[in-house]
Amino acid sequence: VSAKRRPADTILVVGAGLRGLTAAATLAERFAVQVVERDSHPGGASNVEEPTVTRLLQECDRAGVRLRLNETALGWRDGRLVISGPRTVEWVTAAGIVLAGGSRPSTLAELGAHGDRPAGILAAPAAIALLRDGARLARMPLALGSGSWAQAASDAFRQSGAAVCQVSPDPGDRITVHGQERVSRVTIEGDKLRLMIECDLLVLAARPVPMRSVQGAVFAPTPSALFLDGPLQPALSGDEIICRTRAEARRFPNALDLPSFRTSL
Amino acid sequence: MRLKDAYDVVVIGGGVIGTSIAARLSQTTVSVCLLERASDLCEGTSKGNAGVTVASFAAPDSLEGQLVKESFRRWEDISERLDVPFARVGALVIALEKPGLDPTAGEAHSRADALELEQIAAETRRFGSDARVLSGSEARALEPHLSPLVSAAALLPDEGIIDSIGLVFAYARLAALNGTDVIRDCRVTGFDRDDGRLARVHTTRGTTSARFVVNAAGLQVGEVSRLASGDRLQPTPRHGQYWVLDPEWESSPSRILIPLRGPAPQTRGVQIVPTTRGGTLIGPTSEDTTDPADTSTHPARAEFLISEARKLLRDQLRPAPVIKSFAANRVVVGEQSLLLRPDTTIENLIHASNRAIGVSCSPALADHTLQLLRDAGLRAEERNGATDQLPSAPRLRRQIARTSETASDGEPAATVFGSAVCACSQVGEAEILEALEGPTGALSLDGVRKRTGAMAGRCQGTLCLRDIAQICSRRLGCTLGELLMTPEPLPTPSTSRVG
Repeated sequence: VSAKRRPADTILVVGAGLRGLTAAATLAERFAVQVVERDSHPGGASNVEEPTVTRLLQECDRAGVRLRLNETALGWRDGRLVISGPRTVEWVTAAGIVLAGGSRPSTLAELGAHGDRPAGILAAPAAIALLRDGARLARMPLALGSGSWAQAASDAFRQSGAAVCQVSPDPGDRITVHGQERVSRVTIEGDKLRLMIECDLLVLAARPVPMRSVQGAVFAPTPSALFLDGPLQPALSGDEIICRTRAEARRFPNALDLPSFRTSL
Repeated sequence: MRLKDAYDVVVIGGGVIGTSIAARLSQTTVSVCLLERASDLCEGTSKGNAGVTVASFAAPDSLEGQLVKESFRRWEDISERLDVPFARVGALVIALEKPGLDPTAGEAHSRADALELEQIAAETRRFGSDARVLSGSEARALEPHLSPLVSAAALLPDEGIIDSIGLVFAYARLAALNGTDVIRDCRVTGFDRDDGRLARVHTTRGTTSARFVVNAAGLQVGEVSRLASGDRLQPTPRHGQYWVLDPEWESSPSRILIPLRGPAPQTRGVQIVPTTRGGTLIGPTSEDTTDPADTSTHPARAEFLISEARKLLRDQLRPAPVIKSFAANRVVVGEQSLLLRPDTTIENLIHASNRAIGVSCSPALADHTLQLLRDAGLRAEERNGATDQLPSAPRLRRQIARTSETASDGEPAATVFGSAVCACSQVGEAEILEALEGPTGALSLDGVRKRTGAMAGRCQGTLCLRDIAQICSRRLGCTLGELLMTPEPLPTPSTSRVG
């Protein structure tokens, strides 16, 4: 164990996507860095070309970053992160963590939706992954949203032979789910328009929010946690994202002006 | 599982009342089956409640009061034996100053409230629980997020919180372990009578003979009685809606908060309840309705819940992060909140139902039902070899809580609980697999959600649903499509999609 590996010199990065790997490579100039990734491979959900990820991985590798694949970060408490692996639970002390879990579509509650709670409601990332697994999920799904999740879900369902309907609700629209056993229709009511859409699956793909699942590092901004997650402007190129992420990582752990996220009532 | 030709007791209804009775009967020498008309247990009223175990909240001299009194000390033991998360967190019944009153009227208001709190405390003491009244500042010292308008509060230290859905499955597992046939997707369609007694039970899964029948059908309690030509019981569904808030909500109280004056009398009003999974519930609303199948949630009721909860809390609170809203219908039969008696004409039929505190009554209610059956002629002896314990579930969440103090830094501790599948609720693969085991195991994703809490956290399964679907499909031997397309959606796409 080298002197560099003391807990005070360790930073843990949660998520091995574009921003997580960039932060890891940048922070490795000053700290011992470990990257915890739930998936079996790095890269995340970023739509960035393979060579960019490969380049970042090489940079991380040269800087001695430890990549922990197939492990899930679950909680951050008193300067310790608990990490769950296939057969282990481990607590790791660190000077700080970087949350780079990407983004996810809003849930029904976050969209302010009400009505029945039947089967047949899936978040777009889960639906897309299941379609990739070869599952037949729906004949006439409704994709709710307009961004990349909605587009990817619509494309995937269209390829599977389903008749997809895609609708993007405006903020403030009232969304109501109908169906006793399984979802049968969704109504979307705005000031001027009322849509009633028959469907056999509701795919949630609207209003992306940060994907945060590390207890203790969800809402409260603390000097020891850097949030590099959440939706990005679609116009940003991979290089621009990397450039911005490097700048934020360089200021950490001294950055106190941390973005906060919450869905409120 | 198939229905056998004959049972000593047929219990109808797989909610907390039916399963607690089946679990109790399974420890005796009688043969028992439990019938549930839905495809899974715990689908009706028992699926949607606050998970509170009360230590009073019933007339002390009523049978319901007696059941509460006999039950509330037993939760630590039950929690230990059946491995159901429980915590005796206590409750505060809260009185608020009324803004806008002149000082004299304000003082009179507070005095009246204080008197009422004293009565609640005195009544709770009659249950053998050591309740007392606190001043507003004493209450705020216990719960720092309480509103400055809190003038006084009754501290009820014996109220608790429990995983109330977990309790139903634990009762059912215990019954099954002791030989009870638990049969789901099995609706009672009629009875044969023989000399004024029920002789045979017809179901969608065949017919069986029964020496005794327990009607614990919840919202269908009236329908089952009608099929038996028994008493006219006409339950009114009472709609109750809740919010589930994020475990990371900074203003989460550590005790159950109950308003002294809710908007509706005869109810506990809108409570703020910590849950055994670390989150917070706000609810319920309370509105009589006509359709027992309607468990929809409404935005107006959701707003009402938040505004009621805010009255109890400091207004500089950060907004509440919501995870989901849900609703269920309670069972209101007549004036009494408890129905536990033999039918007035059919001597081998027992009706058992409760409006609001079925969980809290269930341990003693099961004992009393056994006694009613014995009084009616059932010979049920305690059986040697029957178990009253369940093996503990492989909960990753629990291991994390345990190792948080003891683990050495950076040294991986071995776990048999599998890697985390659901990160939000800290559920590992072993717990998912366990939820799929045995005659009371989950048969759907929703079944896994109810048993483990997986997919029920902040991201509602966005991260883990696919992995859990894969595990279920492998374990249950069905395709992903079969798992996710159930119940089968509409047969043909409709041509006009937008109306």
